Amino acid sequence: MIRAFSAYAIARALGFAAGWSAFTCLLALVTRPMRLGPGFSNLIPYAAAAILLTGTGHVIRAWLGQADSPKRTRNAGLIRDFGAAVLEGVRLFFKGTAAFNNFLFLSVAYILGIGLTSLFMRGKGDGKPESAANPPESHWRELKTGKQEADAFYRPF
Amino acid sequence: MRILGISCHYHDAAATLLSDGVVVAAAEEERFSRRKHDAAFPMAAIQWCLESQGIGIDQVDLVAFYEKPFRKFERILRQHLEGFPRGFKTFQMGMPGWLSEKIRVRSLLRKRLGYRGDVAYVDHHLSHAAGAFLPSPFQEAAIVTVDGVGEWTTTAYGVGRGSSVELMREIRFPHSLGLLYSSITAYLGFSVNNSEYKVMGLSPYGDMDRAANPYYAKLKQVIDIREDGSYRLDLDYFTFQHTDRMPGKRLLHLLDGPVRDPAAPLLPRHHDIAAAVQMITEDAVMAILRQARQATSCDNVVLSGGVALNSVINGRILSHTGFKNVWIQPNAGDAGSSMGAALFAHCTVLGKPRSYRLMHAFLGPEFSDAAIADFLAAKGIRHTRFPDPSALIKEASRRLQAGEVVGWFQGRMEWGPRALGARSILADPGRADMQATLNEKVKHREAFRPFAPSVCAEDVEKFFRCDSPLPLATDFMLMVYPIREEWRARLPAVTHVDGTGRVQTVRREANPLYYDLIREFGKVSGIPMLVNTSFNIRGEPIVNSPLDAYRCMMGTGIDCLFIGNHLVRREDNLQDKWDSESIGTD
Repeated sequence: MIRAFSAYAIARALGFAAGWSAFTCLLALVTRPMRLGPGFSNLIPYAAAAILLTGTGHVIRAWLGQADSPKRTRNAGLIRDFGAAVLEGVRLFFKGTAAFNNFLFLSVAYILGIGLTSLFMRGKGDGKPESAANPPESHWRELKTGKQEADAFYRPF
Repeated sequence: MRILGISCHYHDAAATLLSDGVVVAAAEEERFSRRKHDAAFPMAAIQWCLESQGIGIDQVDLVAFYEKPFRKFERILRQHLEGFPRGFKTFQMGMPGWLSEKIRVRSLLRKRLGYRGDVAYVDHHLSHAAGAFLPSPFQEAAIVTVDGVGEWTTTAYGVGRGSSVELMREIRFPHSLGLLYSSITAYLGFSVNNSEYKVMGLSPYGDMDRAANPYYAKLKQVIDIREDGSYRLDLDYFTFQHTDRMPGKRLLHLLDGPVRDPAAPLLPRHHDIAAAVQMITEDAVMAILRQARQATSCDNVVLSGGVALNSVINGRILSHTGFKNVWIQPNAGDAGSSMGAALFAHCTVLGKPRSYRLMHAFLGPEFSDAAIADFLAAKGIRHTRFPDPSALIKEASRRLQAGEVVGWFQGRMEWGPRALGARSILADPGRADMQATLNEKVKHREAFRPFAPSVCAEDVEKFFRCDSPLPLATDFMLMVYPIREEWRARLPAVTHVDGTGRVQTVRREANPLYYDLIREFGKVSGIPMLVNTSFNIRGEPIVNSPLDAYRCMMGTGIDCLFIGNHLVRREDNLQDKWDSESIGTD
């Protein structure tokens, strides 16, 4: 059991390293036109950036409660299990980079989209709570669902 | 005409298949994926629904989805706008899922199922309402739906007549009875959208006197309940509207302490808080029901939404609201909305006549005796085969009488969260030590939680002070009634601390094998009643397949398993023994 677990961990580490290598090369390639970094002559800065990126991504995933728990071996045969573990390692690396990218884009969307609209709304006085001095007689709201035409149900809104 | 109803993406994903307006298959995704309350797209449940009828997705005429995804997305964006910047984390957590899958139901259906036909989107609470009324036995009924939140609606009432379902009035998010109950569930250290029933089970340990329980008055401050059943939460006490945490700081202060650590012991204070939220929820639901009766003038009522699974409240409806009959579908939560959406699409969107009445909850997968025999042979499991069901019933009854804990895997799996005699763990209710035995050896759960009894429908009034005529919802273990005083001491395993029991009535026409077992057990023990608890390991859903059932037996203290016409004894197969407690959580 311990031996199987170790082999599985090694396979995952190999997969992770493969993902790291591929992403390092990709970084060197895409930054070439911008002349960022030393290029293919020295890949160490790109490798450091790649591991920093995926590491940060995994920290974000943990913060968001999305961290993966290690999977068990599947007992589908040695080669298949090994292959699956390698792929899982690759996935683990790219999950980190994807989480980092998502975080970046969503932060921009949140601050510019939600934040500015929210400030605008508040400026206009939308979303203010009802006055406690004059509570309504009833909290029910009218909802006449019986009047809808059949076509309305084919729309997702 | 075939319609596939789907509910997913929040909790309890499920699929229901209708053929000419009749439900032919329905199951929750969790039973296949083995992840409790699985919210993922119900691929396995859909595949099983189609396979069970020998059809492909191209033979489905319409897919009905249980809510309007864009409307729900609008509500979520609105929450973020109002909560900025406190919702930053929930925005990060939720948006990828929304953008990649949740608002793109049609493309998801095409990608995952290859389905290219029409999709009908039925509002969340309309799906609940349809799921409550259209399979009910009534031609006319008031409809009440109460849950956490759908698109915007959290509570609604309306009326069902013939094939039509109409909701008349609503309460909107963030004012939600379901979310109030969930907030207190979280405060008491239980998991939200999973363990609300534990709060219900805990409540009788607290002070159920409204004047004496100090937390009743305190919790009344957080909700304004009107005579007409409408209500409003004081949002200063809550944070669920913009963060992923449930109780707010003011609520912690009001309840005299921090959120209980799940590992910490439950104190009398926690019991009183559980009692208080149960009483307040009951106050609100009863007021809503009285309002619904007044507005619709109906004698019948149907309920749906997660709050309709609160069996303590359900047991008091007829005595407190003026309604003469009540019906609740066995899967009243979100999973049941897949059935509601499909039935609504059939009756309203397509304009077909209503032709289905849900008489029992056995709508899930079934395994033939040959398939079970093949499974046992393939796994090398030692077993005994019975020539006919009567011999099996006699043997099961004898073992129950001897104090054994019996796994019961027979026929089609139940639709809904309750085991109703198809995927059940059974025991003798008359044994004083049985509750402790089941809690410690089999279910690995909190000692305060009661077990439910199954009785034949004709015998129920002998043991319980229940409504007369008996509501059909008792067939689905959805009503709690007081056990008659003279029986309480004789039924220690199913009598809760307040002398009540969550009874399941069994009718022969719905489940003949289980009915006959209870009758046979009555003959040998003198009490025609069984303890019936769900066949699962703690933290896992109810078993679905023979493998799940065998694994569950070997991982717990279940003594034997009656599976089809076969008996599998734990002691004969000790080579497969394991400890389910090592994986069990909540």
